[in-house]
Amino acid sequence: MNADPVSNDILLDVRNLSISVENRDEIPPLVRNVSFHLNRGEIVGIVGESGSGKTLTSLAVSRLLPQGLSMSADRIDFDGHDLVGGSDRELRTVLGTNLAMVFQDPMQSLNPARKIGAQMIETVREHRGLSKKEARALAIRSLEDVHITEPAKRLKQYPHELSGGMRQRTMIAMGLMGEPSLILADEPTTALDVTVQAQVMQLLCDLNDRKGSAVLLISHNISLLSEVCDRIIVMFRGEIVEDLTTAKLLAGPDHPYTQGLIRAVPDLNTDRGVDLVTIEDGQFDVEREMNHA
Amino acid sequence: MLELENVEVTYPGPPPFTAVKGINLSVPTGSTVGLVGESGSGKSSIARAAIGLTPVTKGRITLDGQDVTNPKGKSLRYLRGRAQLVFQDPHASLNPRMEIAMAVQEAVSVATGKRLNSRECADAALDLLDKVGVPKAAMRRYPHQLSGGQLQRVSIARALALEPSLMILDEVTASLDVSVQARILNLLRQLQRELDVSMLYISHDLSVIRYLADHVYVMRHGEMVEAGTADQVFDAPQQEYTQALLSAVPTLGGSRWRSRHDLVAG
Amino acid sequence: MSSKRHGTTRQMSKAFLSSPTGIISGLILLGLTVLVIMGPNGFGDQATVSDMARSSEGPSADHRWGTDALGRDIFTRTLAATRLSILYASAAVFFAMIVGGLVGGLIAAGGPRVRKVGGAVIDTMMGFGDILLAVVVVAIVGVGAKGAVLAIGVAFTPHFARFTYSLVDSVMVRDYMSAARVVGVSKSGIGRRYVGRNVADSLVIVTFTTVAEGIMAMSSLSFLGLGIQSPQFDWGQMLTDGVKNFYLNPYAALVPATLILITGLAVNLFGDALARAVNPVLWSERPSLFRSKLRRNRAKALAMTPEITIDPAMETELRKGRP
Repeated sequence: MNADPVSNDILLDVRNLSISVENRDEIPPLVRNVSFHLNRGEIVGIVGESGSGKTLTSLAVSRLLPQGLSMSADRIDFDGHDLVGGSDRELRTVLGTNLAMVFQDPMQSLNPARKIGAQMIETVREHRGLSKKEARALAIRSLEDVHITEPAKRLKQYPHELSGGMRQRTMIAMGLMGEPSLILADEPTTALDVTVQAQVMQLLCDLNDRKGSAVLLISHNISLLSEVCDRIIVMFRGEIVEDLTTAKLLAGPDHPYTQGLIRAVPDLNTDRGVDLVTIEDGQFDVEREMNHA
Repeated sequence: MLELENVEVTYPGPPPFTAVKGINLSVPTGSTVGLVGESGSGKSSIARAAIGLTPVTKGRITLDGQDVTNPKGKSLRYLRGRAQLVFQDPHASLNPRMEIAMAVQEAVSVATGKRLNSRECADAALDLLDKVGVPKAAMRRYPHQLSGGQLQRVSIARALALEPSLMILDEVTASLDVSVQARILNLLRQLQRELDVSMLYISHDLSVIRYLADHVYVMRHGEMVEAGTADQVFDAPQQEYTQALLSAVPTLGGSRWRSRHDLVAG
Repeated sequence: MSSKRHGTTRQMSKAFLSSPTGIISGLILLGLTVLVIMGPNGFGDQATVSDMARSSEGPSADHRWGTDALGRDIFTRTLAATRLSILYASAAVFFAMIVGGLVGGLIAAGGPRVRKVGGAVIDTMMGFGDILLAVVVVAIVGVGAKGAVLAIGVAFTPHFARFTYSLVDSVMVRDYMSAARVVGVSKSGIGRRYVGRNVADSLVIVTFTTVAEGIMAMSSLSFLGLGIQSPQFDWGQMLTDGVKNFYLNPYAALVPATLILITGLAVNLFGDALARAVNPVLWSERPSLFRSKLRRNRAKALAMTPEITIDPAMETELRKGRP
């Protein structure tokens, strides 16, 4: 589907990824046999509701799974590196420079007690061995890249002095310092207002355009994904139920869960005269009787 | 039925912060009014002020002609008997130490005074829970044992126990999954059809407001930016801010941010 | 209604019994209760009659842990001292809990001015320091058991007031309090069902753990000569006496010290188990020696298992269900 011949080689290849609770063989895996791939320069979305395993999948790719969870996979290849069998050191270098992570709450990923500049410079020096001066120049350039005004001034500010949208862009700028081939964004705009969300989306698309970074965008909002993604992966209860191009999604997806997901969300054109479609037979039911989260 | 005239809400400092700067809003009987705004727009302060939880520093609030500004005693009872508020976070708005059936039963007994004994109140509570779609098995459980969607149903049942003529719904689906949101929205529409309650629906989500509301108010930084019928506001927004808000809402296949992909496609 | 209450009580006791610490501490407290009921008279002369010929002896066949400075059997005397040690400490803590809890709760529920003044008063009282406060009270009421109990009660009151104040304060700002007000729940209903139930467990833990501190405080007063006066005796008094003759018979100090320790541990654990029992959030997630590990795991697995698998047959069913 991608018209650009250069971007046809595979950047991220995940085969048979399963994630389970450690030492609890009797609990079924939280993510089961998930396989997908990402081409260079592609924007792919993963959509799902709570408990779908979309966030765990992204954490597994970036090797940031929380303690107590274990993963197994036939293969996770990223940018020519083997993330399953590779050494720790190799992993850290690859992930530190080629992968940028953006989380829902930037406040939690930024150290509130340190200035933006110190945090940005530290990260890049660790991974790339730049001098302080070079790192600072790079930090300023990255902040400019994400359209933050007065970057030199921002470096001297603390995270709480920035607005939510600005913090999220700072996180992206931090990731950009390594010139990543993949930006992994997990619900990057869920905590933001729609107008700010638009700016962040614009920025991600813009970076994809200018720098060729692929984007793996994780969200509960299928409309949002349909706006920016080439391809959308639909997850439900730890499994991929459908992996389809955005064109196919718009034309009408095959899987009933995907159909339900689209029709359950009102948009500005939804017919006010009729009820929203819900999946009433309980099979794809997130609103279960008990809450075990 | 609900009228806000030039209402101002200032939180005492230091420094004092004016969250609502003299706004006018009215909810006609039997209609659904949508109040939309981004974070910090003051929309939740309006909800709390209208229900008497947050003091109004200026202006007047009336419900069916009766003054309920900063209600006390008689006017407070009048207000609570007719208007109810459902909160955003269902996990936080129910007493964690109380079975959900009890939470509703309590509201029923408040509403009926001494007319019903506790047995009858309990039965009425179970009927209400049944009406909003809480399964029988869940009624004797505690809040932490239920999902967010079910808890929001419980909160709605609890509000309905007082047979309100006005329901204020403050971001009631913001913390729910999309498929659960659809059911809650359907439930609200059904309740409005059957019970003929007026609704003030507060949300940051323009799509939901578009789907539910007859009249729409748009707020920003404590001020009213635009007001009108849903069709006016959504189809022909007059203010730049409203236009910006509307154009930022993602729609299925809108592809407004994909410059490169448009080129590729072309 | 009655069946419902029964169900809740059953769940509570089940929750309590399912924790091993609850059972063990319960058994210890049961034993201590028996000792409290028996009191000094239950142990005959050995605990009280002095025998100067056998002063401060080490362990022997007659006296398993030796004797104190007046030749009385350490072990028997320690057991006999249980009644007063526990009763007086509990009385003091109970006094502090009731008075402090009421004061703190009322201040937290009051208007802004009440909160400001009340908070300042509590802080000032806490600034005095427990023992100083206690000594002042003893000076007013007079030396002796009654004075000591009242003194410790008063000394602990600001702590309970402060603790209850912050507990109630944290509950007051919760959404469910606003929700209760919107629904129109009466003031007494809010007090009992909302504030009461949500602060009870924390207050229970603190009360129990404070009993251990009460025993220590009583012995401090005894050490200063302001506490229990002879011929009455408690662990604190025995401990201070025992320390004086530590090189002659260390057990004279160690045995009462051990009892203080065991009691302290037991009330702590018991308070913990009780708190679990009254908090429904903790009912289903408790460590257990008695339920098998397998059963627990299975329960957990069931809780987390998505009951859904996706198969083609089901999908067609789904399509049928859609308009």
